[in-house]
Amino acid sequence: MEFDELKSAWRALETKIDAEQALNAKVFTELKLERARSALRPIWWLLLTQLAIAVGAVVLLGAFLADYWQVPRFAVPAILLDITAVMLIVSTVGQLRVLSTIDYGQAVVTIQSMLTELAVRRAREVRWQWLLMLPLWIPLAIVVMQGIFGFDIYRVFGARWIAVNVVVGIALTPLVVWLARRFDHQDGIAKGVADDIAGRRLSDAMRRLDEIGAFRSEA
Amino acid sequence: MTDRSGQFLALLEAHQKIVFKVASVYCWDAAERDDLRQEITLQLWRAFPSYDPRRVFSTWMYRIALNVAISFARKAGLRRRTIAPLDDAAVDLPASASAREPDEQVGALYRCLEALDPLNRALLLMYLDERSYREIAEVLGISETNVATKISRLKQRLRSELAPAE
Repeated sequence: MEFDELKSAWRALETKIDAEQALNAKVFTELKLERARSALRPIWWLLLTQLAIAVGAVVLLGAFLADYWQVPRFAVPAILLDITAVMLIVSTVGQLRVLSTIDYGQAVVTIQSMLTELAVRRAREVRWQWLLMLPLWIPLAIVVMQGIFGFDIYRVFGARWIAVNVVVGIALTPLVVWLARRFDHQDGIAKGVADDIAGRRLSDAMRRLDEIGAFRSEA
Repeated sequence: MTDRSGQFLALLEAHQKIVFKVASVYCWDAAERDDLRQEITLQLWRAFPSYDPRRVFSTWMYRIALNVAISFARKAGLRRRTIAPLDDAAVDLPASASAREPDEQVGALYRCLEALDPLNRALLLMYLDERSYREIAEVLGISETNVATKISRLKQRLRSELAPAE
């Protein structure tokens, strides 16, 4: 097939499109438009939920710190969690701000570049969220158990147990990344999490960003 | 029906084919293509208040349709995780009354489109739809010179890929 034949192929496709259009003459009515929900909206709800959880965490941690700020063994883990929650708020607000400026009526390269930068940022953030879970679960357990049940983990398990768990959590992080990079044969949620941790989603978004950059360049 | 929605629906009806063309180029599956057309229409409606009537409607429509289609196709691809290799049967369009030959041509066209990244696919779509370089440049957000260069490279690339094997 020659390149010029693509034009006649396009005309053949247009005939098929005409047939399809005749079968679906009215895509939307006014009523349907007002009620329709976009398939591209979930990211908004995801980010707003994430923001609500992070703000809730900061409020609760603030209340916890007010009670225990003079007790370093409780205050330090709470401050660590608070810093993480504040970082999450900053990042989420930044992403929501970018999303709110996206106008699909702008040039394709501009919008795709904005969306892909957002995808890179999101993939990076989600990866860190997973990786921080391992070292942060102990501070979280200390604060939650003390704050909700009045259960002092230091007294029950001892400082050594806590220290060992923190060290093991940190040491396990590269192992989890290594395992995630090898986990590449199944579909579903587990595969999605493995992609996040291994950085496959991040590298895919970065590759797309490079692709857009190359397309934009005059060279 | 309000003035605004009436005006929108009239413009949509007049230029509806753009939505169908874009959806056909980015979605092979009939059900997904239907979803994509609805998504494009919805985003057109949402963006309509910011549409400047002094500008060409089809250019604005193309921008939105392509932006939505690229995002939609990427999400659909992620959902499927792997995109099955395209054969003629996978191109799920209504059959034309014409002979088999055009179907083979359409199949070959789809294989070309499949091999392209989403932006080059948009470029080829607009070129085949006989849009001017100026309009293509305005829709994509690159210079006219860049459009000309890219089309020439695309022709070269496709010519070598489409050349029958010796």
